[in-house]
Order: sequence, then C-alpha cells, then structure tokens
Amino acid sequence: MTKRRQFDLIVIGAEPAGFAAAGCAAREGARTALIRTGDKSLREASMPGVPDFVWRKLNLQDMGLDAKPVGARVSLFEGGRSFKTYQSERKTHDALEAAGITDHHLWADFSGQLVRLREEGETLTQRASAPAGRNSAPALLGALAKEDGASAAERMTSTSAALLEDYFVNGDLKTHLASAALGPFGLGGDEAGSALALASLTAPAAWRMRASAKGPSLERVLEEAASAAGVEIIDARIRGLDADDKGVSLSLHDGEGLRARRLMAASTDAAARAGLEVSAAFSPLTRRDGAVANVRLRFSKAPDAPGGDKDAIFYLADNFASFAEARDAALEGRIPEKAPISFEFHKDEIIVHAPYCPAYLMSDGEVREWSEQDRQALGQQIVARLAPHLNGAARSIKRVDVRVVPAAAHQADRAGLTAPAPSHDPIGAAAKLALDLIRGE
Amino acid sequence: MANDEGQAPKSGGRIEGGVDAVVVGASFEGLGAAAMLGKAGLKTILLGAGGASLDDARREFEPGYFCLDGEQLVTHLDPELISAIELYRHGLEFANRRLDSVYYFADGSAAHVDGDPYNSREAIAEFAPGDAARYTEFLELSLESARALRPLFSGAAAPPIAAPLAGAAERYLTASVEDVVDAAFEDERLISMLTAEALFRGAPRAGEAFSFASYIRRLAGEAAGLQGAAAFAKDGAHGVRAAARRAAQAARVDFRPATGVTRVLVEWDRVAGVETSDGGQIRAPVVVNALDARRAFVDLIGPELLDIEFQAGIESPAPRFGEARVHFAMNGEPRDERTLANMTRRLVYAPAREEIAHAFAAARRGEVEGPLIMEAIFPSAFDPTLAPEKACVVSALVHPVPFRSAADDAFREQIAAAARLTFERIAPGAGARIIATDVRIACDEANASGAPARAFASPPGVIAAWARSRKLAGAAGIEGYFFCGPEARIGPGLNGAAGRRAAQAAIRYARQKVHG
Repeated sequence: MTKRRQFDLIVIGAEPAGFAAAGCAAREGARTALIRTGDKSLREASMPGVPDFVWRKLNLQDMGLDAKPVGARVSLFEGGRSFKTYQSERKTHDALEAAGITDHHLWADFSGQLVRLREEGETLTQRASAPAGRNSAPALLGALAKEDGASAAERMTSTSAALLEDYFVNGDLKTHLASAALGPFGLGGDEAGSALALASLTAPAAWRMRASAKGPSLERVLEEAASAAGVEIIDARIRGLDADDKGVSLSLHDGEGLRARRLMAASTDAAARAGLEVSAAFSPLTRRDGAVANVRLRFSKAPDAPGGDKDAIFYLADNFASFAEARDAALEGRIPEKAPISFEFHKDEIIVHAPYCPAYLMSDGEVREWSEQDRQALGQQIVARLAPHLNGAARSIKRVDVRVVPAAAHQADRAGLTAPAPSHDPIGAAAKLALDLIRGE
Repeated sequence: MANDEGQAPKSGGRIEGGVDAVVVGASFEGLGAAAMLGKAGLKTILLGAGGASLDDARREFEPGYFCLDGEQLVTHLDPELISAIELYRHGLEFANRRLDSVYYFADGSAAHVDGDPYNSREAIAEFAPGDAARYTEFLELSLESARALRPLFSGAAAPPIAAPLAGAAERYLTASVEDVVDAAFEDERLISMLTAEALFRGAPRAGEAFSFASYIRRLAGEAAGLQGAAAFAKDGAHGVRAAARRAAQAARVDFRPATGVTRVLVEWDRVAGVETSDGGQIRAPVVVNALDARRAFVDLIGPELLDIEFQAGIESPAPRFGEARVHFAMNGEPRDERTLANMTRRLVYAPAREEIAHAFAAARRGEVEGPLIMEAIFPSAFDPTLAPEKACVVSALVHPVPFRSAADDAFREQIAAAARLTFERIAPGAGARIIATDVRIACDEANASGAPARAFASPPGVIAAWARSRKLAGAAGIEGYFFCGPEARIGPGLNGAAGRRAAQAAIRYARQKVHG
C-alpha cells in the first residue's frame, strides 16, 4: 500500500475546460490535481472561448496565446443562399439590415431577452456547489414558490421554436440561430427547455476561438497555465472511485491511490471517456440521446472555404424543422438524411461535426452496432452534402475518417463525481464549478 | 331547480341585477365553481351549455353496443372540491374504486399490479427481482414527493419541502423519464411500464427534460380517496359531472344552459357583468370563466384591455399530440377465469423503448403507427346494459396520435388499425371478435362540447402547464375575473381543482368587497 496523496480538488479530463478549472482552483490556493486519462476528445478546429475571469486568474496575457475569435458563423442553404452572424452584435445587426431582413429591428431586443433568460436559467439550474447526494439547494422549488415563479418556470420550459417565433419571421435567420444554439447539443427546436440553449449563446465566452497556425494550441497554453498555478498533472487511468462523507478516494491503474475532498470532471464527455458515471447539474441541454460523429475529410490540396472565410464555422441545415426531424430519426435508430451538421476548415482538412446520429442502428426491427460500412456510408453522405459548397474541391478528397462517439449520459445523484452542466461556454462553466467546489465548505 | 334546460328565461335586452357571480361554461370545472359559489351564499348564475355529452350518458355506436364518452377512468378528482360541494351526497358513485392494472409487454409477457401503488412493490419483486430493492426505494421517494408536491399539481405555488426530500422532488420535476428510469432500473419491462405511465396522455417525449414530472403527478392523483389509484365512476365521466350538476342545483345556482355570453363587461379595471347572447345584460361583480383561454380573454374581453405580455401567453403553441378514444364492440364472452378477472382491471400495453420512439416519431410526422401506449377497460363489465348478452364493449385510450383539429376517414382508419394492432398485444386473437370500432378524437370531443379541439390535445409537461395555469389565474389584472378553462388544468383527466381554486379566489374577492 503506497501512501495516498491528498488534494482539495481533483479534476478529470485533460481538455481546455479541465485545465482551466484546475488552474483557477489552484490560484485560489487549493491543492489541485488533474488526471489525464489519455482518452482522445473529438477533433475540433476551433476551441471554446475563454471567459475574462479565467483569463485574468490564469494570467493568460503572459502565456503567448495567439488566438482570435472565429470569423463568423455562416449558414449555407440550397441555391447558394447564405446567412452570417458575427461576434459583434453591431456588425450582425448591420449585416441583417444589409441583407434586407426586416427582423434586424428586433435583434437588440432579442439579445437582451436572451441574456435575461440565461441569467435566470443559470440561477435555476446551477446547484452544482453542493456535491451530488448532498444536494442542499433545491433552487427550482424555491423559485416556483415565489410570486413570479410562474414566469421563471415558463422561461425555463419554453422551447426555442416558441421563442424564435415570438421575434422573427425570416426562416433562414431562425435556422441559423438553431444551428448555432441547438446543433452542439443535438436538440430539436420543439424540446422543452431548448430556449435555454439559445440563451446559453449569450454566455460571456460562447463565441469560439481559433489559435493561429504557428502558435501553441489553447489546450497547450492552458496546460502550462495550470502547471504554473501549481496544478499537479497526473497521467493515469482510473480504476475506481469511492465516495464517503469526507471526500472521494480514487484508485488508479498503476496501483496508486488518491484522495480528494472534491472531485469533478471537465465535462460529462470527459467523464464518459474515463468510463465514469457523472452527476451533472440539471440542465435541459444535458443530451442523452444518440451519438455524435466526428468526420475528417483530408484533401490533397487545401480546399477553399465558401466566401473565402476559412476561419468561420459553417452550418448546413435545411430549415428549422430539420432539427426535430433529425433527432427523431436518430432516436429511431436511423441515420438522418439531411441532419444539421457543422464544419470547419483546418489546414488541408475539413472537420465535420454531425451531432444527430443514432447510438445504435435499427434495420428490420433488429438493433445493431455501428459497422465500418455504416461509418463509411455516413462519410459519403456528408461528402455529398458538402460537395456543392466546395467549388469542385470534393474531387481532391484523399481520405474520410469517421468516428462515432455515443453522447455522454449523465446520471443525477451519482455520488462523488460532478460535472458542469452543458453550455456554450464550457470553460467558464467548468471553472465556475471548480471555484464553487473549493469554496463550498 | 328553478330553470331546467331549454326554458331559459328570455332576458331580451333586459338588464338583470342583484346577481353576485356569473359562471360562464358548464364544464366540470364550471359546474364545480358554480356549486362552490352558490354554497358560499353568492347568488350565482351559470351560463352556457356544457355540450351534448351533458345529456347523454351513453352513445350507441353499434346497434346494441353503448359507450360512455368522456374520461373513462377517474384518477385525479380534487379531494377539496369533493368535500366542498359534497359530491358523494349528490350522487357520486364508483362502480370500482380501485382498478388493478395489468401491464402487457412487447415480449408477450404480462404483469398484474395492485391498484394501490404502494402495493405495486410485490408485483415488481416478482417480475423484476433484480430491481426490487431499488424499486422500493424509488417508490417511497416518488410517493412522498408526489404527496409533498400535490399543491403544485392543483395550481398552487410550490410548497416548501424539507431537505431530505427536496433533492429528489426537484429532480423528479426537471428530469426526463429516461434520466430517472434508465438510471434506476435494469429490467426492460419495469422500464417500459414506468415509461408508459409517465408518457401516457402527455405531450413530452421520454428523453425530453421535465417529462418525468407527469409520473409524479399521476402518483399524486386521487380517485376515490386512494392516492395514485384509478377508479371507474358509475356512468363514467358523465356520472361525475351529473353529481356536480346536482350539487350546483342544490346550491341554488341558476343554470341557464341555452344562454351564451357575447361579451364580458369591464368597467375601469373591474368586471361588471356579462352581455348575453339574447341581447341582455347580467350585472355582477364576479365572473368566473370556464371557457378556453382564447374565448375567455381575447374574444370576450378584447385584446385592447389586456396587457401585451399577458396576451403572448394566451395562445399556447400548436399542440403536437392528441389522444384517441377507441371503442370496440366485441361479440362472444371469455370463459376462462383469468380473462374474466381482467375485465374489471385496467389493461395497459407498455410498448418497448423502440416502439415508443417509433410511435412518437410517426405522430410527429402526422401518422399513426402502432403499437401505441394503450389503456383499455371493459365498461360493460361494470354496467352490463352497455352491451348485448354474451358480448362486451372495450374502451381504450391510445397515445400518442398526431393532433388534428379536423379529421377525415382515412385518419380515423389509421387510428383504428393501430388500436386493433395494440389490442392484439393485450388480447391475442381478440381482433377476430371485434365487430365494430368507434374512434373518437379531439375534434369529436370539440364538436360535442363546443370547446375548440386544442382543448382536447395532449397537455404540455407539468411544469409548463403549471406556469401557464398560474399566469392565466392572474387573469390579466382585471379585478373580479377568474379563469378555470382547460388551460388552467394541469395534466389530463377530470380534475376540478382549477374550478375550485377559481371559486375560492372569487369568494375571497367578493367577501373583501363587502367588508372592505
């Protein structure tokens, strides 16, 4: 029996959110460790934004991070139509106006409404400060008992379809917002609580970033920042965890044991990859259905981006209804034909994110796992959908890699391991959770 | 019984005074509200017919075979309303106070579960022994949460809940069915059973946040004094309504079924009475409206008097799902004892996970593809006069079907086919004995009652319904106006809590006016 090392907080998951969370906790004086389990996360060209409080806490200005915000969010439609929004609200407003979309008058109102909704949603759904099983802050019941409880409940359960319907008539605009807001969670617009996904787009760092090709990646920078803050980074696989009143014991595959007062995962996905069940703070965005496909198209020469904007995130979705349709198809075990997808350019690659995939496939009433043929079929389907937007470059595709990962299931009240509620600002959410956990007592 | 149907006094341009309260709409909620107001000593007039179903307890859908329209079982009768207007004294009777349930599963097996949910542990221990301990724990938490949250389900504010239960209660209100059920259990049949009960007659899907709350509401309901049970009232829903009507009459409510309302009079920001369809006016300081929200607020009051934000919430989004009531006329009678015993039970088909996903996806596309969730009972077992000798009537509710405000024969045939397919899972081979199938959907109920079809769509999730109900109960800031229409109800079933709450608020308001 080796002596168990003791920590105030252990974070599982070597991804930007995990490093940021561990770094922030360490800067607060907590003895913090981060466990790198060696499981690969999905490949992405852009990375989540870093909220200001994390930036300041980790002194990222001194770390040589060379990153800038994603250029634009661009929806591509059939017939060559496209629709763009920008990080700057003013620029988006002007672009809407220039495109002759009368809805631009309501844009500021709409954004204001989303911010209010997000703030309310956060107070209602954030109860992560108490570890699972010792939940002492039933925020929802308290809110429902208040005089304006009805309006809080209404906002929290409302659908993004109803919210968008209230404000806008332009179909492309609605589809575009749904792509940005719902796509990452694999939600349909008619789902109770999906309005919160729209609201989450207003989170301080919901706009994604891209590191410059020459500089270090965000992950590398945050890892350094975490080390500089005193986080101990441990490379190990986790064999088991055990929670009691005083904290959590972790046993690792190399036989070592760790002990921490609090334990968190960088995200529900990080926990799933480490093979652990996690209790996430409640959120309607907690996706449970289906799987996510990560598709990489490698080209013999770097393809041109539609409109020349290589730093943009591109979305393909036919219309607002296609989100619910794709989700239904995935639920039934079918690969949806025209599921909403997003893609980004990265050197000589295009990286496609297809969040509406079934976890298993159903054919003739039989359930089966994804086979190599299925993955290839999905890859070909995606190539065919991208081709019209690539100006002939589809011919120079060398290779198509398809990875299908089941969406993380979260378990409520699972003792020991907590994860932040899914959000468009995963770094901010993880850092806040880490700070809540170490200040909790 | 000063005024019976058909002989409403013509007020023709007359202005009638000396009235304390007017109730608009003779739905069960309206009847209950009127009875309470009358009992409180207010001179109350009840306007508007409750529809044809008020007069006909039974409908002959095939020569010799009768069905009872309206709710087939009572699960959520508001106990406060029952005692406030003494429904039992006015003839409320149950032919069966506690129906056991038999669940049928996709693999062909079945499980008989006691009608008292507390005793369901025994059945579960038998068919899912691996989950027995977890189920016991789950059941206790659910029943306790249901009891604690009961005020919420009747439209009151959330009650304070002590710490050990609060975590579970909050989780049950926000989680999806899959979140709760998959995390807790392994046995597929147990999962199917709980999923079917939670999704039955509601709009949310199994994976949708906030969907599990309807299961807790189901456990919070009370029929004949037993929490979470289902009862069969004598004459079905009609019997319950008839009792409420007799209670209203005993409370000296002036019932004028033939008189409609064209306008609610508002003076300053207060209600002053109503304008009736015969051109007269009834002046009254209190108006309780049991019509649907659109008519109650937009048509009868007018958008110009309503707050803009309030108006936004009146029109709920178009319903996605509805439900269908299917009546089968069956000849021949079962001889074996097991089937005979099952005829006084509630037979539920609990589809497998994929079947449920498939049914919901089809319904969203506007189609009906069985098997569906089905709750079937045999009304003729409780009242033999409903069917010829050696024959029986099966009444089934199936869910989900797409919501349509109008329907053609092809749609009805789709539903009938899906219902027959599902019933085969409950009673293999019974299809051959079905000689007639009657399908009743939202638009039929709408035609019979005069309410719009969407009032009969599957209701939204419990929390969303609660939010809308609370908002509408605030009644747009018009003093003296109280709402208890279909949008004030939380969840499906004959309930009465909305009417009771509206009446209580109206009585408080009236007394305040007198004393202050």
